[in-house]
Amino acid sequence: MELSRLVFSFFNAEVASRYWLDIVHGMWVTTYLGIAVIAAGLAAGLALAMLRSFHFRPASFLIVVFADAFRALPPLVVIIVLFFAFPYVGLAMSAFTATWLALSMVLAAFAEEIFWAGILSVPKGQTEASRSTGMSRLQTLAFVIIPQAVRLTIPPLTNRMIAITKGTALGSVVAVHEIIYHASSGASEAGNPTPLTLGALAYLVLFLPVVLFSRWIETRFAWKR
Amino acid sequence: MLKGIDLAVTQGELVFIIGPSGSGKSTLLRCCNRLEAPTRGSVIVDGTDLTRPEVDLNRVRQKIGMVFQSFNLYPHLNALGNVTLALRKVVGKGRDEAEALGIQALTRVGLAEKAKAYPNELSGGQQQRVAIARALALEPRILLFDEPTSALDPELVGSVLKVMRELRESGMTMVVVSHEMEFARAAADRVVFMDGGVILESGVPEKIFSRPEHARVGEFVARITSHH
Repeated sequence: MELSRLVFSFFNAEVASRYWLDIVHGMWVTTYLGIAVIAAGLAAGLALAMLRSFHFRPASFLIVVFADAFRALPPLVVIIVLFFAFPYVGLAMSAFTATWLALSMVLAAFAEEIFWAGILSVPKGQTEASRSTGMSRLQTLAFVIIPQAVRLTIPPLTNRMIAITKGTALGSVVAVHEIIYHASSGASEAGNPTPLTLGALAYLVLFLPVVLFSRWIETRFAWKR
Repeated sequence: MLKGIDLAVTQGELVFIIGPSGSGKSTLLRCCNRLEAPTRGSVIVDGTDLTRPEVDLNRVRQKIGMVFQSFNLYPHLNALGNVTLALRKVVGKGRDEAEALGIQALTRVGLAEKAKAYPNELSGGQQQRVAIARALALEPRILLFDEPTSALDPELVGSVLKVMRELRESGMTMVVVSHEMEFARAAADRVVFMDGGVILESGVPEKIFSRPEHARVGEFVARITSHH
């Protein structure tokens, strides 16, 4: 049996005691990077979907190009382009900013499509009723269409939000000091993978509540007509 | 769709529009608040020509209430929320004032006690009355009804017609597209028969129902009446 070697490699108390504080620091960075990505990505996605609903052709075309491109590109590629290529055109940004911007744009692309599908799912009669009372297009969107569309978009949106916040791990490639960065640099420094185990635990601690919350919110918003 | 419609509705009048499906009744009605834009001609409501580009449609639409076949209540708001939304967002009333006016409007359709109920908790007839209250709350100069009872179970039609009759008695100007011939006979000032995008005949109910000039009108009336 190699059990003692497994414990020594992955559950090494001595190594864990040296690196757990780094991992906790990484959890903090992952958390606020994730929150910043969700806030910016959802806001941008919603704004784009609303803009698209005005059916102004050139704008709709650009939105569709953006959404398709950023849904197709791997987020890692976007991060690398922003961080390593943009300085050459005078747009240098920190690793944190590049990661935040890249993930926000990817989330915005997905969120735009999800919100758009939600907007389309609201019957046309709702718009007609609202407009017939003198509400403007924007008021109709804000007070009649979006509140109905949002309920429908909650399950796909929560899944996408969880996926994208885990994508913050990609920031480790450009040395954002999040969980995976600390875990992998700790592991190579110690010559022992126990910090990676701590990293995995950190993700469970952070994301299990989010996953459970999304389950709860999905049942809570289950649509009744 | 519509080919040269010439129709004037005077204040306090109830004009009933009948005709086969596809004859342009709903299109005509929807031109009256510019949900549909006519390619030519003008639509004048209360002295304002809705087809002029400089007209503020959101402003004039407040004074043109519309009631739809499928009610189109907002499912995420309760009855009072449905009735007060435009009062608050368009007219700019505060919450308290809007709710007081909303309760008044719901009282007129006999549903004040359902103010907190959501549309999915109301019967079809109640939903349609809330929709009427939603239009009434804005104190419209005219109310447009687009087949208001067509989506209702027969036993619920009466409650909606009762509200419409009361509105008529209060002097509300109304244009109604409907197949409720009994109601037309009893309450309409004038019945307009449309076919193929034109007004084929119009006159007092007595004339349209009993002595129509066109055989086409007589056939239509007979067919619809025999269904009821």
